[in-house]
Amino acid sequence: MAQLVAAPEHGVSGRDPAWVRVTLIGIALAFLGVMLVAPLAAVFIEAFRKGAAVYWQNITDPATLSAMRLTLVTAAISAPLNALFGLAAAWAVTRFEFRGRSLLVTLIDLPFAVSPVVAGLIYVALLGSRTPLGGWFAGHGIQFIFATPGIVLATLFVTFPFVARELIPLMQEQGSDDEQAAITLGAGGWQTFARVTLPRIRLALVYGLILANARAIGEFGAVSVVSGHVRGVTNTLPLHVEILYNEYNFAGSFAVASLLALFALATIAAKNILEWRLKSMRAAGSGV
Amino acid sequence: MNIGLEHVSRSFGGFRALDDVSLEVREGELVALLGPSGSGKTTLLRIIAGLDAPDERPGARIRFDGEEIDLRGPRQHQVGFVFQHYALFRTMTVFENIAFGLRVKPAKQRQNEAGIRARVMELLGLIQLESIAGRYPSQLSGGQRQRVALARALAIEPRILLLDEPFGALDAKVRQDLRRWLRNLHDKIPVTSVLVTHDQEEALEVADRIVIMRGGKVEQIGTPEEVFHHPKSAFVMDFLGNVNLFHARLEGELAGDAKTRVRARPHDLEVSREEGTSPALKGRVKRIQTAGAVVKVEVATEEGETVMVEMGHDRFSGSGIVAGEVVFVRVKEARVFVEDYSI
Repeated sequence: MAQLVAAPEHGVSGRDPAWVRVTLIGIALAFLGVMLVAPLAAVFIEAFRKGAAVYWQNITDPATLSAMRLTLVTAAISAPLNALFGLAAAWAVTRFEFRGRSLLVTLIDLPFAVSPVVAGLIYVALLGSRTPLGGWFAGHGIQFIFATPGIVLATLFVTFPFVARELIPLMQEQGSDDEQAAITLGAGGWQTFARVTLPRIRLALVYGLILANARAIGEFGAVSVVSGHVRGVTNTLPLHVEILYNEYNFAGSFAVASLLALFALATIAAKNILEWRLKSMRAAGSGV
Repeated sequence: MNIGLEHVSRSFGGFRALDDVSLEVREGELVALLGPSGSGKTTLLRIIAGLDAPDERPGARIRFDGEEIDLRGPRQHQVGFVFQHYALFRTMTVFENIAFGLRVKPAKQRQNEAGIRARVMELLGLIQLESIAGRYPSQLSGGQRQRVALARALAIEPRILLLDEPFGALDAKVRQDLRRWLRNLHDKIPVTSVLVTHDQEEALEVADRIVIMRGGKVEQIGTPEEVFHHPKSAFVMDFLGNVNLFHARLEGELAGDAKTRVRARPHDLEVSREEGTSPALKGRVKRIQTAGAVVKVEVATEEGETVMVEMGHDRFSGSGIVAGEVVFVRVKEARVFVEDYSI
């Protein structure tokens, strides 16, 4: 992804006539301005329309704080599970030859292809209190749908491809020579992973986690289906924005939205720093 | 350590990479596995290293020092492996790369930090790279990387050293220097070594014995002198150097109607301007190449074939041959292989 934003070093664009360049850059900037910058600015303007005091009141409202807590808890549970699943999937796909390997690669992409609403409905159908599985869990005091476990599951479903998709191409490119070298030097499986594999994929892993985390915090569709929108209990930040909006509490709605927007900006900043570090690492490591 | 392989085979799907190979490598010996790509030499090396396992067939056995080892389990036998593309850990410095094998040892066998440091510095001295201990692999040249890879493998005091095309990715001059360096190193530290190569010159120069492989089988085993001067098959002779092929009819005991092929190395041929009395091939000198250790003379025969002759510079100046003139080529020494006979 880093390559997409890199300017061409010896590109042909330098020979294009000036009007072509000006037009293309103008279109791109105008599009960005209308579609991204203006709406983002609007979020903050609307949030502060009734003044900073009201803004502060809105974001420290108990229901908002509760939604924030649930969102952060969900993200905090998802991140390590995403790391674990992503590593396992990438390892399996790049280091072993097995039947169904290409099927696994395809399945990893499934959550990106399917509508998040469908993802939510899958869990309602599977774990709703009237289904056998959901009933069994309910009998043991565990409720998935309209409760935090369901929200975490739905979030995991939509976020799990991110880490694997970052790691698979990198691990494929690196090959397994280094791991084999470590094994011939007497390292065990865990030592090989911790000392040789992990340092090489660390940045890509963090990068995947940042993307997965951004999605986990912002996810609306899948979570909306399984949440039940119980204010102060099963509301996440994105759901809370909608509720406030539907109640015509525009200032409150935009105040909460501004929190999500701030988080998005922080994600982009973190992502850019990592991309820059990944790039310099690749440049230093090229040809090894 | 002595390595004994008995009836080792390995198939990948329908492809037989190794076909019933038996081989013995003696203590302290440097053996080269030589063959074209696809001949099974790397597969054999990986099996010795325990990175791959032979097919389960009756009689398949690997012995280290006479003791049979578990073919499927990991090798607990201190095997050093040097990869063609170095496989240095790029996130570690040269020092840490070499120290790796010492650091991953179980706590009971592990040396303390000072001991590890001393051992790594000793190895860096051995590969003459003390000054670059703090650098990362990406900051080294190919030749330096390969030496670091070798030092890393030697750090664990291996009882067998396995090298997979160790100089394959280097340019010709560096390759030659490293080859000589490796041979000197082996004379200094005579650890039982197996080297895989497709470069016959490398094998002839470095190895105590050469195993020539073809299509997953061992074609011939012998010292460089034996395999070069007494090739058992046409394949070995062709693989180990340039060969002139003549079509001839045999006389005497082996005589027959069929034509057979006679092989002679360029330095086993003689060119002269005189026709003489002994049988000779008549031809015209096409090209003379004097740049190099020997003079190469290309002769186009009347049958339209090209014959390569090599001779020393002294001999060449004595002969007075010039390009374009008619000459006679005589065979001093040649070989006929049974497999070719009657073809």
